[in-house]
Amino acid sequence: MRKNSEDAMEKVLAGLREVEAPDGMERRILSALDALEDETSVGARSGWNWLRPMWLVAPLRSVVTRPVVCGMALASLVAIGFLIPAFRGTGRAPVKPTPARSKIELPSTGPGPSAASGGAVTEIAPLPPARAGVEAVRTTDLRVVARRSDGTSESAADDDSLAVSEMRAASHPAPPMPLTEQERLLLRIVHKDDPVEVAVLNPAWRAARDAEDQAEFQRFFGVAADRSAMDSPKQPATEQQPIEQPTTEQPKMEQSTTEQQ
Amino acid sequence: MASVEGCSLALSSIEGSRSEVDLAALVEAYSSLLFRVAHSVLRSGAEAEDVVQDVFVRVLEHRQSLSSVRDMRVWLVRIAWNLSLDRRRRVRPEQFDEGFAESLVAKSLPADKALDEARRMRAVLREMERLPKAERHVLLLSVVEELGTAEMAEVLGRSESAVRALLFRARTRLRERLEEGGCA
Repeated sequence: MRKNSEDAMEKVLAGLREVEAPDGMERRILSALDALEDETSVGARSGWNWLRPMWLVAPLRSVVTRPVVCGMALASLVAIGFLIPAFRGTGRAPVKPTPARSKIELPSTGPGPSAASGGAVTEIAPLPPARAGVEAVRTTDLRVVARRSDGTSESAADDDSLAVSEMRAASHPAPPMPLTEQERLLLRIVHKDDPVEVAVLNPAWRAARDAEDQAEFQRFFGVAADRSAMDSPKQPATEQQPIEQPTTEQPKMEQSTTEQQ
Repeated sequence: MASVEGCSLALSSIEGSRSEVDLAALVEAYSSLLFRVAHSVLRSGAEAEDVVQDVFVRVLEHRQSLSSVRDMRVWLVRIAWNLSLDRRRRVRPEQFDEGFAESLVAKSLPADKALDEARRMRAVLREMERLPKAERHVLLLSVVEELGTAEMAEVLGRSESAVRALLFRARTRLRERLEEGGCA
């Protein structure tokens, strides 16, 4: 049994040892290697790169790309330079320092060396506050009119000087306005120990006062009606209502109270 | 400039022709050896041929470093061995055992004896696959007559004494298992 197993084992090992390569293996391998080598060589020089002389392209690449890069950098700087003032302008209004002394332009009245420029520049000493503001406004208005008459355009500096001069002008309080009827009535009511008020509280005196007012009313409108009737005779004459005379006597008390005032 | 380019092209063509000649010589000299190495692991002619082709493709890829190779034969066998083991993981060699065992049976034998002989061959191959990995590798590599113990040790990365011990244990274990299995 041992001999049989040994024989079987040796037979298998001999069969593995004596195996022969298939016919044409070397040729197939060589052809496959040639094809692979050709493929790699074609892949290395594929495309249009082999038409491009590298000794010419390499220097030209730097020559072409360098100005392009410089141009892009310059364009970016210019863009930044334009953008920064734009942002500042939108952020806040420019503030100009106020001059210590105001230069005011006046229209020229006669020929002179500066008349050709459209107006003479004269320096005016600062006036007292109340007067100086008015003068400044007037002179500014004059300057604006003169500029417009000359046809020149107003500049931002002129507007600024106008605003500054108006700002520096003295303020004027408003004049006292007359009291309204309600205000006067309120004052009258608030006023204490007024004899008229005491008279109003007395019914007899009040009735007398009302009668007097009504008589005065009737007397006034009665005269007006007579005049209108005389002016228009064709019209039918209306019955003239009798004027009511005050029946009540004027109390002597009123006289005495007025005298007391 | 044109003369310089022409000179460089001539040099490259000379180098290419030299590498081509060397590669053809390598194929002619070592293809049979590499085929046996691969066939001992895979036990399939087609798979072994593919492994040999892959070996020379690797040589073509590393032809710039061929000059630094000390022993070309051992270097090629190691490449073939490693590629065969790698391919063995994908193709199961057991599926080729039946055909290989039938090829080992003599044609002159009667049919009944040929079947019995083929069964014994398959049993031997099956027991070889059941051997420990190191012993199996040494046994398979010892099949190649061209390789001595030192070359086997270099391919397997072991010492010569270890290779000898592994080979002895592999043969002994295989014999014992065949006797136990009744492979008589």
